[in-house]
Amino acid sequence: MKVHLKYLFIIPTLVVLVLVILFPLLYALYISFHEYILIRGIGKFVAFNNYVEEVFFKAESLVSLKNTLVYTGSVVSLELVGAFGLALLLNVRDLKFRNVYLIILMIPVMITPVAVGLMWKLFLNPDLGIVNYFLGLFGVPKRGWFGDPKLAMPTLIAVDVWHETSLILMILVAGLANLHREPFEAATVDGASSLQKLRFITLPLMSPVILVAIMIRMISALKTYDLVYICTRGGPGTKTETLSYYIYKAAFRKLDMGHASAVAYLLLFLILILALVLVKILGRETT
Amino acid sequence: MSKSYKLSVFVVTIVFSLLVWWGMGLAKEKPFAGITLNILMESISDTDVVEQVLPEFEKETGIKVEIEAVEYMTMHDKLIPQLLAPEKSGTYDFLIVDNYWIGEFVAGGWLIPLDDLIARTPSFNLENYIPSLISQFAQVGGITYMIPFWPYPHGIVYRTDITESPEFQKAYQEQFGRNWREPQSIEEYAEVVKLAGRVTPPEVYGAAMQAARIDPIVMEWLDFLFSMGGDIYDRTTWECIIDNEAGVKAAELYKNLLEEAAQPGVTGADFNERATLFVQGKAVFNIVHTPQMIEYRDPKISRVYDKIRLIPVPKSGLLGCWLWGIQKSSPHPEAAWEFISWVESREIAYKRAMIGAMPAQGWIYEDPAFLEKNPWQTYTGKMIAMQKSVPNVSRSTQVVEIIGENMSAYVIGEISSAREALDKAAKDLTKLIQGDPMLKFLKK
Repeated sequence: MKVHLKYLFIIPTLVVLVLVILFPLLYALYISFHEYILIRGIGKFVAFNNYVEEVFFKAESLVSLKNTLVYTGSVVSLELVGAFGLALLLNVRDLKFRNVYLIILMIPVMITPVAVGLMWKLFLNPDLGIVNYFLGLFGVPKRGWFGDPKLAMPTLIAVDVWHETSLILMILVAGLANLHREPFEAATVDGASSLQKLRFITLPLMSPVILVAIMIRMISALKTYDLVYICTRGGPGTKTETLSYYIYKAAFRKLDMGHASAVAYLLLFLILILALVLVKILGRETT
Repeated sequence: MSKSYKLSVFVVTIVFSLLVWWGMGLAKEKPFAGITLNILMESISDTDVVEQVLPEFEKETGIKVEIEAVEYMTMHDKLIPQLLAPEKSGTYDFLIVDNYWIGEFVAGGWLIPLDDLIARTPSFNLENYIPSLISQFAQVGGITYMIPFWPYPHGIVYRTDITESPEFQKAYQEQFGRNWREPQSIEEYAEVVKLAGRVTPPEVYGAAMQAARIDPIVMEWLDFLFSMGGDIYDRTTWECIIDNEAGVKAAELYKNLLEEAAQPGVTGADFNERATLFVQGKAVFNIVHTPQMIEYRDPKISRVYDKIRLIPVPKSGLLGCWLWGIQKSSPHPEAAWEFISWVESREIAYKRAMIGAMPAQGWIYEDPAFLEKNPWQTYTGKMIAMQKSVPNVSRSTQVVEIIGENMSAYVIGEISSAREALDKAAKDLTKLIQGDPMLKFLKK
């Protein structure tokens, strides 16, 4: 009786999970093997045709993949380095107003990505934005930022770094706070410098936390859509078109749900593979 | 029972009966009272004008209308899930349709035909409208699916204070060998824009342009294409002709103008950024959706409200139109029609026009009071008559997407030549239109 009661309590959660996660996943998989233009309804079964076309015959999807990898690699690296530096500063012993600094540094991540995008679009408007205005005071010519093909991707990366560094900072601050003090005290007694302590004690002890932070941030960066939608719509040209934006375009602009679902699954496989690699490394580090 | 008790019962019965009778009368007059209608509209001046007349509608009918006003670029994506919803289960009760979504929405079977509703509404008359708006947009295969809301022909707006200045006049005379005249061709327009950019201070550009990816760049470039005699498809044979000589020249001219006369970051500028730049006084020329003239001439928003002039895009240009429609997923289609027939009645349409809306009803353009208030509207009828729209094929959105992707890639150098960009577009456009169910309805 007790056992049956236990399962009864789980059933509502399972129903929600099936409806919200499993059903859409399976339906998307089903669609990805069919021709499906929204205004015409589900068409014939095409097996792996949609996947093959996207990988081998459509240059645009490969460009989106390249953009996604560049974007993800850049934001994760920059945010990790920035957040780690800030975390070390916040971890200084007897630092006054630590909590105040932490709260201020948390503000960006509390702002919704849509608001961040709109805000930075205004700041970076080539003629009316405040950034070009201040740069102009120092004689720097106006930049197109999101409208400049060479600057669009770096600008998007910079905005993302501004927004998301706080997230990694939170994880790293928690990690540093939980490190035991004894290895550091022993190292001090042995005459180790701060740099040596960082290299030989802090980094090795923090490696599991760092890997978790990388994994969390990498997964969300690979799926970036909202900032791209608000700031650049994937342009100029295809300079900032990420895979998520490509999927949105295929589904809602071209109404081609078959191809959109296929690319969505390819993105899912990419995320799974990268996540599994990181989990393996994490497992080794923990051991 | 006492006498006073009997009297009380009698009085209560009479009062109750009167109340019921009054209520039934109200219900007959206001059959949809208490309903709230929801609609998604573009965040633009014509929507603001509709909002101004809503209290009057609510007072007359008891129907409340809630408008969700959003940026244009998000509208199509928000509407698609609504249109796919089962009958009477959507969030929105009616919608406004941009003309190049017509083919998609009709081919998808998502809209309710309106002829029966029109027949049941004696006060509503399609003959009030500019005929080409009905034949081009509102009707497909002889069935009325939509009612024109506001047309948006494209025009050129320019700063008269700059073109009438001695510096500009002198420079114009030197370059063209004649006195200043409004451009007679799009090629002449391009040369005048570049001249204006050279004559004005560095912070004032020759033209404010909008080359952001997809909709903005396409809507602006099609003015160049149509003005130079080109087209996306031959409207008789439906062969794709976008990559003919006219198309290539139009693309090259457009790119040249972006590079030599437009604002920095133009390949990221959309409609609003282009308009904001112009009303801030930072450009001499721009190609505009004529309804934006309301903002351009508003002293609260525009620094140039009293020194601008609107002229047609030479020879041709892009014509668009927004229309009212009722989708099958509407929870209250009859109440929605109540609103549409009211807001498009002669009285309210005229009232909206006098507030500042862009009328779709032809007779308003002949009204002296309307023309006195809006002298720039004298060209509108001519513009509507000579301009072309994006063809109403079932995948017009993809037509715009294909052109936008390739033009955007061309203007930033991802594709090196106009010929290559347009040949690529033509290949996809040809494939797209094969077997299109809308072709049999499109007039030759």
